[in-house]
Amino acid sequence: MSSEIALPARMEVDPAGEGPVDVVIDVGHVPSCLDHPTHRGATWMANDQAFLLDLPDIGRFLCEDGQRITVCPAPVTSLDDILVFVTGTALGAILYQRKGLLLHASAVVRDGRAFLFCGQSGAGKSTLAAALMRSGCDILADDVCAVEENGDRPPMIHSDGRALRLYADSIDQVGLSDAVGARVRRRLEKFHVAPPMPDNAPESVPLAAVYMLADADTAFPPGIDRLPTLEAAQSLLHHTYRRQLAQAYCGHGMLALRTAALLSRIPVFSLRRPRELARLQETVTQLRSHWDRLGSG
Amino acid sequence: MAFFPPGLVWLASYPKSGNTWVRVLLANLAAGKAQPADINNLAEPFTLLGRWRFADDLLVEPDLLDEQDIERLRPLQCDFVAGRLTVPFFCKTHDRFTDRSGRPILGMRALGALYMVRDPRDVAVSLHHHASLSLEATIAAMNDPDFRLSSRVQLRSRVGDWAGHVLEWTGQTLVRTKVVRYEDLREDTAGTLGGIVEFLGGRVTEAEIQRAVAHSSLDELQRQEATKGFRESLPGQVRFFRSGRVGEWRDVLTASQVRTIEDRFAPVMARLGYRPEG
Repeated sequence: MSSEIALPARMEVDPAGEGPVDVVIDVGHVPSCLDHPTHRGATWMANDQAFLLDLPDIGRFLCEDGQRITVCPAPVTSLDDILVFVTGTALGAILYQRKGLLLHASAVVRDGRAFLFCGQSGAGKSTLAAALMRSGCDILADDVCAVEENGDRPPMIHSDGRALRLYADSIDQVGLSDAVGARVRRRLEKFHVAPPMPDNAPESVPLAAVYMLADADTAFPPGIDRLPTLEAAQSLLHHTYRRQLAQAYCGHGMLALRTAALLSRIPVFSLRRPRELARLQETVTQLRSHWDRLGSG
Repeated sequence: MAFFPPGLVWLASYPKSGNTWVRVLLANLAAGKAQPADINNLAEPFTLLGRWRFADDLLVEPDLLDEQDIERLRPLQCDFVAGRLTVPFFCKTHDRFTDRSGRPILGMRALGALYMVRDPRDVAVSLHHHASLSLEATIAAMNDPDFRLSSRVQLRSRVGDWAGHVLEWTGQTLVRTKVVRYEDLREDTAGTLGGIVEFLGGRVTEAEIQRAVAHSSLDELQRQEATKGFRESLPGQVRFFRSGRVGEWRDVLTASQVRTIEDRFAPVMARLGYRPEG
């Protein structure tokens, strides 16, 4: 990436300027609407070349041709306070313009295989990934997983930077106080956390399984169950990152086909776990024994 | 088959005032099936209260926004959705009508709203069971102008105090609103439901109303909850569909608890026909 803005943890631009520039991020004028939008929502519109996100009192973000992001902060808004929208939705739009497929998931690596945890905002994706890291896994992604189809072999999952975004209580629970960085936004109690990372960590890892995070309760006790095909497909579509952007750039039919292709190679499970942070370790233990069974099966 | 005009209809209320029951009644009426609607799958679109739906519609995560950002964005989301609906959408909310700056938090393009109210003394008993709070803490929450609800699934919503909630919803003229008393719904479910359908511009037969009422009885809801659970119940909650009894407060609240509620809420209670004891 070439950026005139300093990006958060582990998304640094290439300091020596050696590698080819892939995405250019600039601050500049962004129009308030696009010509001939094909898709739109209350805060955004998209046409074949461009995507515009307009967040009142936050800023406008223009993503063009899978290559350029232009950021126009709202008056009295500072750039560092809105970067998270550049590295989130805006970068997501760029990848979709390049025909990528993204899941809203965290990911860890164990024995060279990637395990994904899908969940909506607040479901505990990052906290679970951090807890698994403490038990010996490597972090691959915190919030967004780029899925790359790989012929007849399992799809590859690309890293989103390996930095976590955690609330203070989760940071304490998983013992990562030493790795805490800046706040994600100025008024939020959520922090960038850059845990120690092994040397030569691979940029992409073959996918082994996807888990849909769910809360256990009296009616539905903790457990891991494989989802039937239809439910698995619906869950994957539900957790497609910025689903409406995916539909804008790869079409609803194509999205369904790609989801079906993913499902034909990868099992999808529901992971119901206790909601209390103090019981996080139970989930880690449950997952590790599940992986042992998956490996031998 | 029952018909309702397309558009967004808010099912608004202070918590524990019959909102879920009205949702189940309307879902059964709209479905018109021989079997009762599944309480865990009411065939509603994803609610506009939900965090997933917020991110799906607006392409930003609610947990990256502060309360002020969310207050600015929610009316935009609701109005955009309301303007594009081609089917009826009954959407539950416990939000107040306005945000902290006095702007309508749910926008202004809804077809209408049903505002459910219930005697605050019974609300206190029900909320105390629902939220596993002591009665004292429950009554304090009902008096708290900053009382908020939030969960992993739902956006944080400002509920505030009971009287303020009622006054905001019943006093506004921006969204056409029908006030539905929980007590009336219990006493004459079919008749009250008929009035709701008329307000919404729907068309149903008497037989359809009777069937929906039977499919939404407390017995049926408790039966389903006992066999399959209810996904909207809270952690640690024994039962969501508990008693529903009108006037249960007489057996549960102490004289001093009743007085605390009435001291604060008597004028608003009187407007709704809830007679203070003291």
